[in-house]
Amino acid sequence: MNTRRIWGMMYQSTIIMKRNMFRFFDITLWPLILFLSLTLFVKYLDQGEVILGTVILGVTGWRAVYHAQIEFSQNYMDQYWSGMSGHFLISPITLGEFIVANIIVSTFKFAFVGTLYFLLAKFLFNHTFVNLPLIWIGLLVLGLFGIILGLITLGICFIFHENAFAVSFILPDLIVLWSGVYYPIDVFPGVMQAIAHFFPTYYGFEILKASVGMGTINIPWLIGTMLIWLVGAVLFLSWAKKYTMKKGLFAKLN
Amino acid sequence: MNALHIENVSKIFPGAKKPTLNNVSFSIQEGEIYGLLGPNGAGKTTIISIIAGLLAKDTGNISVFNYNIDQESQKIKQIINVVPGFSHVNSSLSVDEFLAVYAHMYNVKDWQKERDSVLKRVELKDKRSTQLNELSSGYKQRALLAKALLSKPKLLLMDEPTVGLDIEIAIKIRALIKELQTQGYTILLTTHNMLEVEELCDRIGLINNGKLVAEGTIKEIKKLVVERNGIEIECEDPITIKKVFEKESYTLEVKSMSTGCIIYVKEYKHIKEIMKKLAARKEKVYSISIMEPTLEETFIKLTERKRK
Repeated sequence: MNTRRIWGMMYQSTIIMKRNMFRFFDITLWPLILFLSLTLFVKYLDQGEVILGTVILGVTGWRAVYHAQIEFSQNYMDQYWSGMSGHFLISPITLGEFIVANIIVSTFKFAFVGTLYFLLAKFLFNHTFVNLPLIWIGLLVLGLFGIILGLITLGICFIFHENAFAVSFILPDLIVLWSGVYYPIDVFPGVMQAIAHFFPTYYGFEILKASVGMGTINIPWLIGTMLIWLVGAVLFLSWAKKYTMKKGLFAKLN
Repeated sequence: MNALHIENVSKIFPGAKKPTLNNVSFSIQEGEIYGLLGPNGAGKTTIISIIAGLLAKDTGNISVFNYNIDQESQKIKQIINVVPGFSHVNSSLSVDEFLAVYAHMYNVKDWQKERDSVLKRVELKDKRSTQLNELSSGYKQRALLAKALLSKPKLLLMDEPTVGLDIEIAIKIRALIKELQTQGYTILLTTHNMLEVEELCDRIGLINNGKLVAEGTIKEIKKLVVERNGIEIECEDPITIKKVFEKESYTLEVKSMSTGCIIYVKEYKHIKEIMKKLAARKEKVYSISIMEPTLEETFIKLTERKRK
């Protein structure tokens, strides 16, 4: 691991975000719209502090998954769209260094959004977060799963380039919704409920819900499913890289 | 020492009927400019992409300064760099920022000083704050060249570096390539520009349909297609000269034209005797030259020969 290469990657991501207003919206406007649309609706329905807390934590957890995973494909696609991926891929940066750089950048982005949510909840709804350690653990679990998802979407982007970028947006949203983000998974048909048990996000959101007394914590299943996804993601990414190199699907130099 | 050694490298893309590279072998010595010459689709960029680590070969061995590409690709990436041709770099990074990013990627020591130095070298100092997507193609090419030089690569891969550039910039880039050689750089240059090859390369490899058709110095390569040694004489009285030289033992044939004649001889060394005789006879001669095929003609002949 070379810290200078990691820093180089982070420096590049920061400048690109600074130059692109729409990229900046990703940590300001879009998270605000998501937060306000849901919390204001709950407030209007007057469902009480616990439900409001569940929704706030759910939205925050959703962003933890989103930021952790989108950074990988977005950063790679930035290289691709700007015609730089050839230069980037021939440089000595390793996949491991690229991953670490993205984890650091996404952590900062999520920290920004999380703070924004915390302040909004505090000042807009006078909401008090209870059981903070549990919230931290829940967010960490969701962030870790976001990273695992990021490895998968990065592998998909290696092969399909821009055609796969939409997957980076759809995949986390689909899994988050399937994991019972603000609601129990009992609302789903039986098969969907069974499948939801294989998403670590389900256990992550349960931890967040447990902080307001509404979820059950299942550590063995959380670790088990997380490990299965991690191994699967690493194997898939490594296969995708080899497949892309064999087929010549990485960007051309010219 | 071999800067690059390629041995029996083959590559067939999945689904393709013919291999893109078919048992290609060649070596480049340290400090040499080696030209890989061939038409579009011959396999030149495929070779560069494999060396650079963008593409996997199917078979064969590649080593760069004795580092094996299969086991030590990370070390190779640290000592090579690539200058592509006609690159659509469209980043919002400024030239300075772009070079800063790659200085970190290649772990360049004292990088700010090095950056200033390469910017000066490629004459890009006044554009250092301009974003890459706002540069013209010539300036973009200079920025890519600056990026490649920043890491002081031991082997520089240049993939048609002057294609699509206007003459003035192309000349400057060619001069820079020549200058780099004097500073010890080893360069693999791919091109289909024959003049560029003649001007820059110490040795060349001719590649066609994924096969290396011929390899050597330009002189050696041209020799491969010379069927008869012709000496062209521009003179006032071609008919007389024809008559005189037809009788010589070393002459195979003499062809006269309106402006002179061509004497086909057994060996080029007979040019001395021809010159002596012309001088003794006080013939009015304007020029004498050895007839050499152009690199283009050589390439066409060699590829035709392989086809047959």
